[in-house]
Amino acid sequence: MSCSYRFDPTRRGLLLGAAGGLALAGTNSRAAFSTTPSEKKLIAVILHGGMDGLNVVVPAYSDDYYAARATIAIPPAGEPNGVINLTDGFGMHPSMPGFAHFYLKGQMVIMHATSAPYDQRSHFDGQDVLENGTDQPLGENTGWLNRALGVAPALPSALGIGSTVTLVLKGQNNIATWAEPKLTEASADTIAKTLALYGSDPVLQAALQGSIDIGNVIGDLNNLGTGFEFDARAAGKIMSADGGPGACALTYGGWDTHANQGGSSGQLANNLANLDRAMVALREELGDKWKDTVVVIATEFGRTFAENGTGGTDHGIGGVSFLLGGGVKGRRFIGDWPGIATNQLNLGRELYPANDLRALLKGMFRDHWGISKSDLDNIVFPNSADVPAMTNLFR
Amino acid sequence: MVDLDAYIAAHKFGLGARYDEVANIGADPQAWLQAQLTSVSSTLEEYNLPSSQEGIALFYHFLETRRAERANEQPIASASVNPKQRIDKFFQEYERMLGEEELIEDNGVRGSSLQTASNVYLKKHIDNISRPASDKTSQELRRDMLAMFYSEVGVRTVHAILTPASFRESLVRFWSDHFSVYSQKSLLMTVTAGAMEREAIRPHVTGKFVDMLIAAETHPAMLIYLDNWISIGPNSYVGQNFGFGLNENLAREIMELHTLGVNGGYSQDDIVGFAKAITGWTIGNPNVQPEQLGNFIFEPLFHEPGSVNVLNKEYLGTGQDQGVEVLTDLANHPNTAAFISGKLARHFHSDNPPQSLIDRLELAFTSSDGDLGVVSATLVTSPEMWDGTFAKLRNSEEFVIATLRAFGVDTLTPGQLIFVFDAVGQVPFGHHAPDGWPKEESSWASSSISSAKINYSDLLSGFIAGQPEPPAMATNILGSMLSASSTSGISSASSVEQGYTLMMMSPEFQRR
Repeated sequence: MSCSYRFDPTRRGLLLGAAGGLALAGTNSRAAFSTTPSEKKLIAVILHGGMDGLNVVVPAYSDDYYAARATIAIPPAGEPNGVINLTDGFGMHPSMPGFAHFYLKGQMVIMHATSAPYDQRSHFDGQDVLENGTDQPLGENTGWLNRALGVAPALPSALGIGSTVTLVLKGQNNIATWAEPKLTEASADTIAKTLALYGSDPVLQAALQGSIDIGNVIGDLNNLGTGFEFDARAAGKIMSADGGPGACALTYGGWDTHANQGGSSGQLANNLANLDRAMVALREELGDKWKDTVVVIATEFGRTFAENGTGGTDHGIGGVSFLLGGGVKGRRFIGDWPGIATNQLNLGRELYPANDLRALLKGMFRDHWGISKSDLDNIVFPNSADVPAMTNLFR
Repeated sequence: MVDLDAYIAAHKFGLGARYDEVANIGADPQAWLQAQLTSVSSTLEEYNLPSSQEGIALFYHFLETRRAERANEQPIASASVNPKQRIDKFFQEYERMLGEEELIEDNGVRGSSLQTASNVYLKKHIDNISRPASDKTSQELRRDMLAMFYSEVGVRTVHAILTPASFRESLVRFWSDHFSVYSQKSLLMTVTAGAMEREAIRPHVTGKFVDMLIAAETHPAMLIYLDNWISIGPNSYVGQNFGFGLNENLAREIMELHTLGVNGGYSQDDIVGFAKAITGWTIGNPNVQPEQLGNFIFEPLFHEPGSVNVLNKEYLGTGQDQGVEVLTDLANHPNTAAFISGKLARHFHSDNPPQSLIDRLELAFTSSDGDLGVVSATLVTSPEMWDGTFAKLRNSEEFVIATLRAFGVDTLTPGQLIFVFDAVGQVPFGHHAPDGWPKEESSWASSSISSAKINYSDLLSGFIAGQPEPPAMATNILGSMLSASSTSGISSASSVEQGYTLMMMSPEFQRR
């Protein structure tokens, strides 16, 4: 992405955590670790469909925002169904009290106006770039999280949730997988007798034993809640078990709100409430491991600044990303805010993607897992030496 | 006791034994396999499925129908008769014409409508499929297109279950995966991905590799999937007049995945040269050569003029022949023979096949100018294939098909089949990247797939009636492959159903 930053002079400085925007990567910050690296948990939440960042972290200070979104705008803080105030006129969607709490408690940073390095509007290609970690569709057939597993000094293990592993976690480094059973489960007796057949087949034995172990950790499926909370709670239980995996990827779709997306309530609000509940559940399940956990939330792109003729929004590049966790140096907006006046929009239609998502991810990997600059620039995010890692993300 | 070779023929070459099949293979399993290469057709014409051309036409009819239902939407097709003005419209509309958005419905998840298999939904649809398309609403047409995909998966699966020539069917799957396309990229892909296997792969499974290569790379599904339909020569008419340029995607993947292999001795310059040679390989659509709607076309206004250099050779032609000549040379390149031979050996023998097997296949490939019948026949006669090792883990689709062949179950509806394939993590034409499904066992020996396979086996066992007891069934299907511990495990089952499950989950059934 060509990041020729365009600043809104009235907003700049209010939002910037790191003065002057993205700082150069510092020296190896391994000293920041207070516990053994293998205890550092990392969870990637990939939102498929293109989440409307401007109705999630709302620029409620802006008349332009309310003018462009006559039927779907979220009212300012203090008004009925208004946003939950965060800072400087920005507010969280009212369906996200958990997110607001993470932020206000100092455990979440928000990077607005962000995108993976992809400037077109195809879900297929956008999701691919978001997860493959290069600057082009199909640039790699493995994902950045999987590649990171192989270069993180602690060599963390990873967990995929779902019967098919999402691209970000695909690759040569083996991962455990768990999926909500789609078919009625076989009896424990049948499973035990099957396991007994695998005495001389260690590969099949390990796979089945793994599924039994995970099943024991998860326990009663009825206690996991529903929807995305189900996946998040399952992931939290598995990761927080003794020797549980250090990484996990979760995907959640339903963000492609071209029509009837709603405002403070409605389609998008329901999805946001589910996401909110899921992250709160994840934090609950991780218990005291939360202090060593970081969660990054990203989507393939944002949506158009103005609402369309069907009460929705169309694909637009700049979106919003979140980083949260017990050790995150939170209650901050990071990166640059390009503004939303008409002449500040990209192509006059969408939030300008001022912040390369890879900068956030690189900062996260360097400071949470101790991955070297060279590995980040070449392996995790190939050919990305020109994208410096963000600093100062963790306390 | 039937000779072990018959089981190898049925399981390692074929898609798994049907009941009594091993006994019928007879004393000469190699002859049984060779016959499948010469005397059997598997183009599935008897099923009368729609062609990709019909699928594409239906998709554009759907777009036009929906436009008519809406108030403010612009027509897809240009009103102009001037080809150049129509091309302008093509580039304004190509994203809409891809139908990506159309596949994301309901809860916004890509392909969710394919995976939420509802037999009621499908039944309702099939009941109405005989009505002419002109009478239908856009919603009905949309369902027609999803049903086309269901039908493709249903037919290829039932054919694989019933066929007595399952080695040939296994070869079809190998080559179809070699030229993998993703049905859920867009609705236009949904109506062409399955047809591509019938139109470009099946006719050439025992023919010349170059013919399959050309058929695959000129198929609408491939041209859409890897973006070549909108790849424009910078100095072409369109390149000079619109903001579009070269898309290297297809050229790169042809070299990396379809012919030379990664590290196959080509450079970025070779990719660019090749990409230029195949500019203009596109699809007749409402705005570009509409009289060829849905067919592969060569569009001169897209094509980069002049010669190109690929792998130190200059290609002078300026038309469609230029790209065909490059493809032909790629097909005959020694690195292609090596790459494909290794891949065949890893598919049919094991993740780590003997080098001698790869060498044998490579020699057959080069000395026959890429005759896939000869290469397949060499696979049959290679002693390494008969060495009695069963190291290759079946992938999820192969596993499901092997179970349905063993029990002769051919009554599952397309919706049920897709539901099952989804549960075990492998819906046909559902791999998103062009490298095809994972080949190595680590991808298929995961905890979630292991658990899904037990649940599936357990479910299937409950449906089976009137078949021999599990020990007899296991002997019939697996015979001399079966270990003493599996035999005793299956015999110790506490019910007939559990016995069938244990047979399907035994290492000897999981591997081939």
